[in-house]
Amino acid sequence: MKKLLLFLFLIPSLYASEKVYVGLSYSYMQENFTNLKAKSATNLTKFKIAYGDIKAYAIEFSIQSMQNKAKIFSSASSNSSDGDMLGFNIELLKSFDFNIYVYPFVKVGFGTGSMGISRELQESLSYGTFNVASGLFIPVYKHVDLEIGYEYKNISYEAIDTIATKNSYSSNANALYFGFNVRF
Amino acid sequence: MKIFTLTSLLLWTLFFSACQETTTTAPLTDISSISINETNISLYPTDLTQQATATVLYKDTTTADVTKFVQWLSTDLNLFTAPQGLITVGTINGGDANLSISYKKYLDTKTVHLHKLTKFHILAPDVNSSGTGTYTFEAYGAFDNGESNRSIANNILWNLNGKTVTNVVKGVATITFTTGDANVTATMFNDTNSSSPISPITLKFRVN
Repeated sequence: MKKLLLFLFLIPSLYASEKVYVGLSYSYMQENFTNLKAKSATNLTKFKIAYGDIKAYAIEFSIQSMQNKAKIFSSASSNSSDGDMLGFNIELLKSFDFNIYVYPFVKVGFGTGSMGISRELQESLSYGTFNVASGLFIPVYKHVDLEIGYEYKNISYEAIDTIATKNSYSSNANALYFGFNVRF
Repeated sequence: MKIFTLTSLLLWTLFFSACQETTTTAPLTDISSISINETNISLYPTDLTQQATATVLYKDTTTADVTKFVQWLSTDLNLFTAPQGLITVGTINGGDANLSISYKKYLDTKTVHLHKLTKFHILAPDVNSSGTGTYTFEAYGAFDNGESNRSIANNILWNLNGKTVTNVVKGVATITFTTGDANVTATMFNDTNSSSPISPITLKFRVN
């Protein structure tokens, strides 16, 4: 309920000097599993469509692809590693204008997606994420700005079916990213 | 601006310098097969139940009990059912049927044999001499595998003067006699369609 009220409260503030903008970013992400002895380092590419003000609030919708080289969920007898992770995110962003040329921001949101795996009983694995990020918008042209930031993801994966057990795994992921946005 | 740029570069440098390895040897084992543990399953149609169990074999050679997680199937529900592996005989006197377990693409099947009851007898108290009171009646069967004196706990119907005796626990009937003539009848399987029915046994009493 609190989240809903917060969301409804934020929506009107988007209309201050709002703009639609699109962005593309690239990040390097390190993922450590909390209940499994496994980790991975992946590259993440994200494309987003957003609506808001570079100096105030925005809401961002993004799709992302993580190039996965890890073999964590797939069977040992499989020749392939875990597949790429495709996902979708919704994030609320608050940026600040301190008259220092750049605009620091924080954003919070959640996402969902799936990845291909090669197991006897499962060919794909869904996951959900809770995302928190902070960074900077750096204007470079009238309609273009760079974006650099740090992002934390808590990732919860769908349970792995071994008949006797259905174990769910989760991980913490840290990413540094850079990208650019074009505002219309 | 320079401060932010330098800070960003520093962060990126630190992050990449701490690049971690990626797990490429699968830490989670996978399923190899499932199986019914019991071999040569045979039981008596006059018994109540027999528990079967199932095991999953993983590719790292470890195993786990999956009796409660797989689906159990009988190819002849009149011969037996097997909810969660608990084989419960039906109303047929002997025969064979398959017992299967399945979980998605995995399957295992074993044959279940029910021995055929060939004849039976009743162990009866001496009601005529003892007079009125409450007595227990128990039946024993002979089977096609040579077993000749096995207590009958199932598929037996007791009657007293044509009325069904309801006080029957694991095949043992408890009957109360009053003075007069009394006929106690034990009927096996009550299967009118059987090609070789077992004739009922009737005991006649005169209680004083």
